[in-house]
Amino acid sequence: MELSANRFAANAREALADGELQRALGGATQRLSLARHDAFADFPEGEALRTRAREIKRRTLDRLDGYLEELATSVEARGGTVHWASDAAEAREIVLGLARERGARVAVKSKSMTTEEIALNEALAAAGIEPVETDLGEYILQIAEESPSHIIAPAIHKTKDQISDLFAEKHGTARRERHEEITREARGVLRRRFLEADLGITGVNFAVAETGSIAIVENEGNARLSTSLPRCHIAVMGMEKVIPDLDSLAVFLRILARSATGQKMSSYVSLITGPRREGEEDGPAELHLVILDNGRSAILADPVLRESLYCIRCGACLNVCPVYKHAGGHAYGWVYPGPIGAVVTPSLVGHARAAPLPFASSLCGACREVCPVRIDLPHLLLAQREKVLALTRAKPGERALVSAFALAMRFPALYRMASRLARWLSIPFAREGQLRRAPLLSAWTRTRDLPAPARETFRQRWRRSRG
Amino acid sequence: MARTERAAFLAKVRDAVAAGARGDPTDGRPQESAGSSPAPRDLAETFTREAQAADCEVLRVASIREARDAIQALLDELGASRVVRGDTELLRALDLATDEAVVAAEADAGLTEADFGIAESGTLALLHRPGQARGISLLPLVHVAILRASDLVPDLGALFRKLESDDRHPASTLTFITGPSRTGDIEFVLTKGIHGPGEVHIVLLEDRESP
Repeated sequence: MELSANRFAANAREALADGELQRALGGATQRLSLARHDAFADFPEGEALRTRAREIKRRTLDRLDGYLEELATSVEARGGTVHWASDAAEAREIVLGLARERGARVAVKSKSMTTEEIALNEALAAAGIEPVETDLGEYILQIAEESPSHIIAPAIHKTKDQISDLFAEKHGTARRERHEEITREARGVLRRRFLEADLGITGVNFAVAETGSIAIVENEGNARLSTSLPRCHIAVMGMEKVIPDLDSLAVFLRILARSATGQKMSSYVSLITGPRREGEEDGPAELHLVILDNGRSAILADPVLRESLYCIRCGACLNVCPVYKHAGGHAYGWVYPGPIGAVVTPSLVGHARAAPLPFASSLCGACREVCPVRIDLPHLLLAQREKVLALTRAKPGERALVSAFALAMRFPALYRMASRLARWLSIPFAREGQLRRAPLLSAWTRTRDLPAPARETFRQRWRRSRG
Repeated sequence: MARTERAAFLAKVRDAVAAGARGDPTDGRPQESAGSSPAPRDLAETFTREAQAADCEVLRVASIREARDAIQALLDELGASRVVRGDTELLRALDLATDEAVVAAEADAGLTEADFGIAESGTLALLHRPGQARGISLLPLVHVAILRASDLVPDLGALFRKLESDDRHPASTLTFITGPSRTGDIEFVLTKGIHGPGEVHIVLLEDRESP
């Protein structure tokens, strides 16, 4: 996936001008956030589980090396093979190597952001192995040659009529009108691909260290097919996906679907512990687990940003974010959109290559309210802003303002004087109580209103009303 | 390209763990109990309600004979002539006329015995092993599952604790099924049967005697 995070403003403007997209985004985010709200309103133990989930993540990351070692040992004890990839290139090489050794020609894939992150499809195609996305939304995007716009609903920006046309063109079939007919056609086309595939490639929602099990959560059944029909299953996981035990898994599964779609459980959860065993009628003969670092150890090494690795990719923070709701997933210019994307993308691709993302937030805190593992996203966005600013260096005017503010905060008399002065200085620029254009503040006022200082300062009013 | 070895990978992680550690690694808060809710008074009642809420059809029967009649009537009604079934003691005891030659990929319906049911979410749990193949509940458009009420547990935490003393655990795959295969990927319109079954029928067997 091509990186265009530095074009956030232009990407967002494009999205804002697209009426169809605005309607789809508004509908999708509202439905999902309401569903999440209702699911937790109906679930008294939910708040305690969220706290518990956060604690599990914190403790696991605090000795991640130990849990990864335990996971690898357990997976191998059950007949699986573990591969270690320090970056995206190495992860691609591992998968390609496995595919070549097996003479694979077709690989079915179920939705996985991690394989998007390592640009696996492009690498497979270049090596002559056809990657087939099988999640309906991902499949639509693959044949339309577009990228996902939402973690949970990747093709939500496309209308039924566009998809009808697309299927008729790409499948060479009659144009289907109804949702049921369109999905039934996709079922038929994709079922043939499942039956002929040599490899099934999936992501991992959780990896259980104690038992060596990987959990995959979905609604469609394409992950089940990908892990049941092909001879060889390859699962690719970010190293932060490991959790200690099945008791922990129960905690996460009980909040993940509620946070993502408002369901109590997603339609399917597959808990896979090794390849098929003797006497079993189906299931893959081989299981390979690729454990990926790709910049995560740098995040882990940062005491503040480490928290971003708690993320379980539910998408709840996207649906409540006032920026995401209008800018949409494509604007963020890479794999991970929304508030969590704005935090992790700069760390994963480099701050200079995703500089606008931490600023694409009003810091309203809605994301923190809904995060199932209570990630303090506004705090992390601020930490990332500091890192970006350290790279680009603030303009002299901005620096002078910050120094003056710091000085005023130290001396109350100076602060009093400055707040009165601010009102007098702002009068020439105020229109209807808003500052529209003001020297030094143009970066803010170009895109946002700034309320003009009130006639009476808070301190003056406090004195008056108390006295 | 030289491959990263386990030791090198883990050494880097170990360094990162140390570098990013907070001042207070130990947390004074008491460990809360497992992720489990109080047991509902009537598991069968809760399970039935939640499975229905997840778009399953639930039939409650009091004996194996009743289960057989209900399943036969259901298959007739659906016009399912090619039925593939799992091989468990209970499924054999049902003694339905099924054709051994039918494979899951070509069947109209798949008949399984769910190993457990989770009341909180109306979920079926299947431990795959010989006789409990993955494809039966996955490939046909209709899934019919029989479940003993005595195999119901209140929630996921309770199930994992129960599995600790189950010699079928850990199975090569444990599948949790909550309702039919579904997608909302086109305009958020819920559509069933995109890859797996579009219909899930659960026959809940509340008998006192064993087969």
